[in-house]
Amino acid sequence: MKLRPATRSELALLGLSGPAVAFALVFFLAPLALLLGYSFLGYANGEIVARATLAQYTALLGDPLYQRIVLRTLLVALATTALCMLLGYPVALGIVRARPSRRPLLLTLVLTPLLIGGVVRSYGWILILDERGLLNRALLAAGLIEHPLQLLFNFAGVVAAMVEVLIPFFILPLMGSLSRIDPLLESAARGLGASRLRTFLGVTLPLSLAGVAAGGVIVFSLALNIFVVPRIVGGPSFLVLATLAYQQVGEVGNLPFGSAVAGLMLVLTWGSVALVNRVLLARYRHLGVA
Amino acid sequence: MRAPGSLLAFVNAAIYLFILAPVIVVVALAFSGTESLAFPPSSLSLRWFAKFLSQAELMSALGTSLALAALSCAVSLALGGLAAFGLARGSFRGRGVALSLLQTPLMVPQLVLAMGFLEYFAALDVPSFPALLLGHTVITIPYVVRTMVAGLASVDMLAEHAAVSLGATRLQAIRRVTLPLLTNSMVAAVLFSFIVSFENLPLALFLSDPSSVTLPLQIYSYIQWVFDPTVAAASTVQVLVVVLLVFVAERAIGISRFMGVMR
Amino acid sequence: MRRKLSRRAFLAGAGAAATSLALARRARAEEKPESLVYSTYGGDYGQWVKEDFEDPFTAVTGIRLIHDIGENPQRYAKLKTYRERPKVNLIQLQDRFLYEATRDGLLEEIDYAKLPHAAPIPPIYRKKTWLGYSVLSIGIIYNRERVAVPPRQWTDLVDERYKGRIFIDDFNHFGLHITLAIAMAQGGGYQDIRPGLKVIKEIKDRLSPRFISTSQEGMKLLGDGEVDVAMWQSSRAFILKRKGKPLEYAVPETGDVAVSYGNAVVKGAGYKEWGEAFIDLTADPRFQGKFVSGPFPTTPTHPDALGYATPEAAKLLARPPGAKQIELDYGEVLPRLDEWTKLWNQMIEA
Repeated sequence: MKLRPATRSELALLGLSGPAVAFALVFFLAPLALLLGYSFLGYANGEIVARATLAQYTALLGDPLYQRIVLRTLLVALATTALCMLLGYPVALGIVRARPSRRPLLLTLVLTPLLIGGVVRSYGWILILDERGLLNRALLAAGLIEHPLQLLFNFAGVVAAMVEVLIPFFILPLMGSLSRIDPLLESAARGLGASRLRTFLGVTLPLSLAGVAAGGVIVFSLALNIFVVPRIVGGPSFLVLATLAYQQVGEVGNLPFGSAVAGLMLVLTWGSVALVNRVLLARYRHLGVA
Repeated sequence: MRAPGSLLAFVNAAIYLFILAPVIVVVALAFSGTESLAFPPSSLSLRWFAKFLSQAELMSALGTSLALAALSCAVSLALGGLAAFGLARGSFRGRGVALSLLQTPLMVPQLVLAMGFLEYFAALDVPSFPALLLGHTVITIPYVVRTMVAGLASVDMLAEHAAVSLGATRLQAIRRVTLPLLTNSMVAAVLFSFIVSFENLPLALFLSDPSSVTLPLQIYSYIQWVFDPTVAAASTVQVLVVVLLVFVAERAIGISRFMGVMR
Repeated sequence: MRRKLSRRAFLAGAGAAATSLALARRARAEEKPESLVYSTYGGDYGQWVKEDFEDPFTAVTGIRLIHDIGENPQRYAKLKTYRERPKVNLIQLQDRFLYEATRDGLLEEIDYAKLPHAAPIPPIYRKKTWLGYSVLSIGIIYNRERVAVPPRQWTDLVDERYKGRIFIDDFNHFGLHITLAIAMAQGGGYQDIRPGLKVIKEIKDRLSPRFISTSQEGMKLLGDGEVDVAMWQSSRAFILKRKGKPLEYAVPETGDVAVSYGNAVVKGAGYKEWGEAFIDLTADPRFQGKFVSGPFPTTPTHPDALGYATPEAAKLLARPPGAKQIELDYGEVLPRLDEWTKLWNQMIEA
């Protein structure tokens, strides 16, 4: 008797997820499987060889060149995610605590970078970070440096440009969580004598972890897979997995190897997210994090 | 709690400057008086806007992109929103798998995924615009699901239960109590799906046909050949269109009121 | 812009009237379509091709060409995917992709008996399945105010004077052509690209060159005088030269590399004869002459076309006497592209 309503509502909830899951199966998983199927084929002399093999994956994982690119991709994604959290948190807090009339403006400012297409925005970064770019000219004029800094085509430049475009994906989900924290809880903590820092660490931060996790997962996934920023700001000598995958599929025409790179990217992103979810679930399940 | 206001404001001003730096550069270039892409521009003019507005292909592409973004945003909000309810509240078997599946589109490089879409939709004989719509829905659902699940996770179920025990039906309770608490997450979901679709290039590269050329594809094609600030003007118009939409939405439904829930 | 458009449109109309008779005389077995779908470039280049070739075609035949736009790899991918039910009637691509499309059996064989204008075009641009209309050259660009002695070979660029003031195109763009040309000059070739990679590596190790991934970057670096030399395409140098920049294009003694652009009729898409009529028009030296005088100066494929170009364009495009040009054999290139790309990646990442 007690179980029945629970089961019925469970069924209803399952039913709610049904359409989206069916949609994803038919229009995402099927085309993805079709594509990843190529990664188990051979490739020789410019042609696909229709014979099942793991050769693409062994070539990808066994080569020091590609290992280096995998490592670089992960580091870029991690650094981008960390910086988005560090810089995005105060911005989200600022928006949530701003006067209601100012929030749409602040929100629009945060979203603006997304409205300019990736290619154009990346050119903007080139004009800023170039050896003769805006930033170097400003620093030289201020006498802070003597020689222009190399800011493009390297780790620092790519991460900076990535953080800029991905930070909205962290800020918005976090705002969702922050705005639902009952202000009474924070004033109670303060009233009980907790310092601002303790209140933040003990009340605000834990209660917003669901948002931090949601935003962090989105940013990390995108940072691993984004193409335009590393292509333009990183240049041809700063390959990451996304640019390698496109080079192989679009430019060389080696669909099997390119799909294997895409497959590896999927596994890496999925694995990292699962790992994070596991850790978060173990520690913060009661806060509804994952 | 009142935040240590001035410090937070100062730090945030610096972060906003960083976020907006390339936008400022691009918008400034759009007003350049010369053909050069040197920054800051040496003189000012509106000629690049005139050039953009006089190009019929760019304007019709803008229309296509807006339609595509609006439709895919609506579809993914419907599908993803319902799913988020089921997934956030349910504990049925397969819940974790479903949640992962709905987020996986974020984890695949889009230029490569677009090739899979091209083959798949060609095999199913799906015409270009519907194929783009399906593809954009696939890549925007993750944002809806992720933000709404996170939102639902922090909505106190007690309020809903209280409403039910006070005599409201379940649906009434959700509509009157839970949804208002969720508006923040819903606004985020809508904004993300609209913008992600509106500025998406990879899918259009592979799926477009003469009837469905999007603005990002036009801008990308343009930039291959010509070295002038027209593209900056196009991007500025792109920003203005969406900002305008946000403000119209603000007038019509009052985003700020939604964003002010609980405050 | 508007004034230029109308002048060009007028010229197009005048030229069209001249050919209309020839086109109209030919009997048409096929019913006439209202429009054909043309897979072509977007942006201004697509417009230039439209003004100089498509508009005259429409003026004569009444057939409109509807554009399916994109870059080469994507348009080729679409062509291949829809091979059973083609969505485009005509396609223009770079020679490498035309080679691939031909190999895959995606293009109709052209009946040259119906293309009177194509006869004088050299066989390297008059293939069984496609006809070239325009040729880019990949060679050396230098700033004449900063480079006293014009470079005569690729290895002249390996010079400390150019440290930090040189760029090389990405391998997946024209870097492939550059590396192969250097390899050929250094005793290698299709069988061995390493001599070419060795020179690029030396430049990379000693001169900290910039490797560009987009044409915009190259235009900015050359236009703003941020580099003195580059391994790149001729047309971009000519565009900047017209704008008064002190840039020159040099053909290395061992030859620069031709990259041609051509049109083809898509197999099974129908209206083959009308497609061929359009391709014949792109071979007409008058239209080619006008096209190469336009904003994107390339070498025409018809030997008489420069005679119809503006004197300014004819002078700009004239090749030095005896200059060699290399035509790549994509039958040799494509089977090795995968391996070469990996060697390039290793070189550039090292």
